[in-house]
Amino acid sequence: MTINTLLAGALNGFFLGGLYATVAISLSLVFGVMRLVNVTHGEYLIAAAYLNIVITSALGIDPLISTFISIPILFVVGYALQRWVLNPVMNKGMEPALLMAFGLSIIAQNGLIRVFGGDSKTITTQFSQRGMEVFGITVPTIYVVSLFIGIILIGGLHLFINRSFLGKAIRAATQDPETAGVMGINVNVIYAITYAIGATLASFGGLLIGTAFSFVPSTGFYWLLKSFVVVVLGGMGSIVGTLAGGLILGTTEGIGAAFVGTGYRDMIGFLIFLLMLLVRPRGLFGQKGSE
Amino acid sequence: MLKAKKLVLFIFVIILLVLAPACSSQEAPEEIVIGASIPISGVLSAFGSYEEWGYQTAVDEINEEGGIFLEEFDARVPVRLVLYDDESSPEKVAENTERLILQDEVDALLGSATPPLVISGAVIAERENVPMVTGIAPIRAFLGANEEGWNWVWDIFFDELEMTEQQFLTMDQVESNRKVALFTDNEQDGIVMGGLWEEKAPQFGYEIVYHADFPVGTTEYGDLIRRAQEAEAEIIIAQMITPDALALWNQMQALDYQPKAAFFEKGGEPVAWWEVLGDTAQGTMVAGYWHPNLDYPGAQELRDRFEADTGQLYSQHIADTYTSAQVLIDAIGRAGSLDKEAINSAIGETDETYVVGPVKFTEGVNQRASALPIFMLQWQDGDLEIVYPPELSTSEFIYPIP
Repeated sequence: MTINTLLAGALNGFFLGGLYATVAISLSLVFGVMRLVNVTHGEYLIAAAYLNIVITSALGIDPLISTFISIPILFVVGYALQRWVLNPVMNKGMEPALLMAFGLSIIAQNGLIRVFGGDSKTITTQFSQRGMEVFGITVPTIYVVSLFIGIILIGGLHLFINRSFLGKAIRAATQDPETAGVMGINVNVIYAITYAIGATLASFGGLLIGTAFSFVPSTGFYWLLKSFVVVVLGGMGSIVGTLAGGLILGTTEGIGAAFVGTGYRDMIGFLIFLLMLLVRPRGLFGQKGSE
Repeated sequence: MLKAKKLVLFIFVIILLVLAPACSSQEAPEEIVIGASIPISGVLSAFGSYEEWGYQTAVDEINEEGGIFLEEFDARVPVRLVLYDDESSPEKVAENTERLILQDEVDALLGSATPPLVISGAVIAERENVPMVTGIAPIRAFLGANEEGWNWVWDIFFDELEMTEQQFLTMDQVESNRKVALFTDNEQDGIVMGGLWEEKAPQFGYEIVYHADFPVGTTEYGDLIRRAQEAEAEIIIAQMITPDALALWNQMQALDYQPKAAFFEKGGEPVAWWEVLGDTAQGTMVAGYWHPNLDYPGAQELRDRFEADTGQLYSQHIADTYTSAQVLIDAIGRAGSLDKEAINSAIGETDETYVVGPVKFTEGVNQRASALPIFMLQWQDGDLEIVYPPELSTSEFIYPIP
């Protein structure tokens, strides 16, 4: 192993970390607000990728533009699911909502198989097979684009949550749902909006996964696990922490793979995950009690 | 006197009752049940769609003739094909195969796709003494999974050793530095093939300068690609599933790694390879055992039928799956009964040229596998063309990769 290989691994991983963060942001938001471990997250990502392909081929437009068209569709689906399927069981404890989400995940995966079949797909964009030089090292352009998208989305979401009226209502519902309800905030609507925002964010995650890699209807589970690691590393429910978690995971995986081989890449990620749970269960940016 | 007459009549009736069933033929079963667990969903679903068509088409054909003629019952009996989705999971294959045997009470089985899935079902078939015919499992990986030898499971596919030799001979057509990088996943065939390439390369004057092995489902290959680049490999050989192979090839393009020849075994074979990659798949190669232009009975017709039925481009897997079902159907016919041992023996006696090529187990490795002749295919403008050996070629060999 040369120093160049190590540097390349680190840089590659750092940019890939931007993709991890973008993919995980929706999971982080839903967990942060509702304390719901959204196991449908992976299916949202993959459904978004399929939707992107459908819109792109139907309208003959660029997949990046398709992403913006898919946003309202995913928002409506996400809102409806939370409002009328998940909300009714949310006040019955964590387990019913989790089981319901599991059920939705299985239904979604089978639905995707039914509609799209099981063949591998990728989203072809102008970045798909291009590389670019960063500090003299070639990295896939889509990884660099992913990091920029991740920064923009996470920054925008952070501002939205902290500055906007709706964001403040979401925070209020997060911190004390009962008092928020007394103050006139419809917590059920807030939950549905939050879940719907998460679904729209998944459209970007789906675009990036589909462009950088390939996917089949069952691929969502892999990305759900990856997202869990990112969210736990960055701090459960911390928006900014998600970016940090993604970058740390990507970089560590990249360096680890350069040292011990790509075959151990995922294992390295899960080792860090376990280590974080042991040492600092609330993650890097998580607030006390969030664990 | 009357008493004696009654006694004779009574004895006569008894004799009739005893002899009647023996004189008339036994009642034929309503159906012959053949079952298979196939990957309709999951990462290997590209294979499942061809399998479903191949198996179903062979069964539909025999049913159009009224079914399989069973001598024991002097009647034609229709075949019912039971297919379950194994979701590309070996555990699910085992579960499905048990269900087929215990609940559906199948008379015989057909295999899934790729060694991990095929072997998972084969182990159950072997344990329960149910005959199974399969394709899509390279022979040495299949045989290597059961050191004691298979008794009830029969494989019709290619021999990896022959494939390896064909690959190196094809490489000889390409001007290169004779340095090869291997990318093999940790499935049974990946392990077997990785070993064979390493073993055979020096004999053909090639050097394996880098061997990357990794788990199935790996998404990021940057580090491995850089190592192959650093090792100056001008030829790559990969043995991996389609989604992983797509990611590897895309990332090779992104990192500007342009080998002069690229072989993508398993992953580069389904039509999804071309559909997803388009022109960037031009010139990539995969070993082949079937092509519609080969002089086998009904080869071109099979392609035409598949494409007319599905609207999709054919794959060579339609031929081995269709043939597997035909071999099983023919064997049941030769056995003339639904006795599993008789069916199993009849499979072993197969000696015929089918649409996929000659099938004869007694000349195969370990007498439970029939090896199909092999050649090299290359993706050219959305179609797979034979490029080696020259006597079989259907198109000019494109090299280096454009």
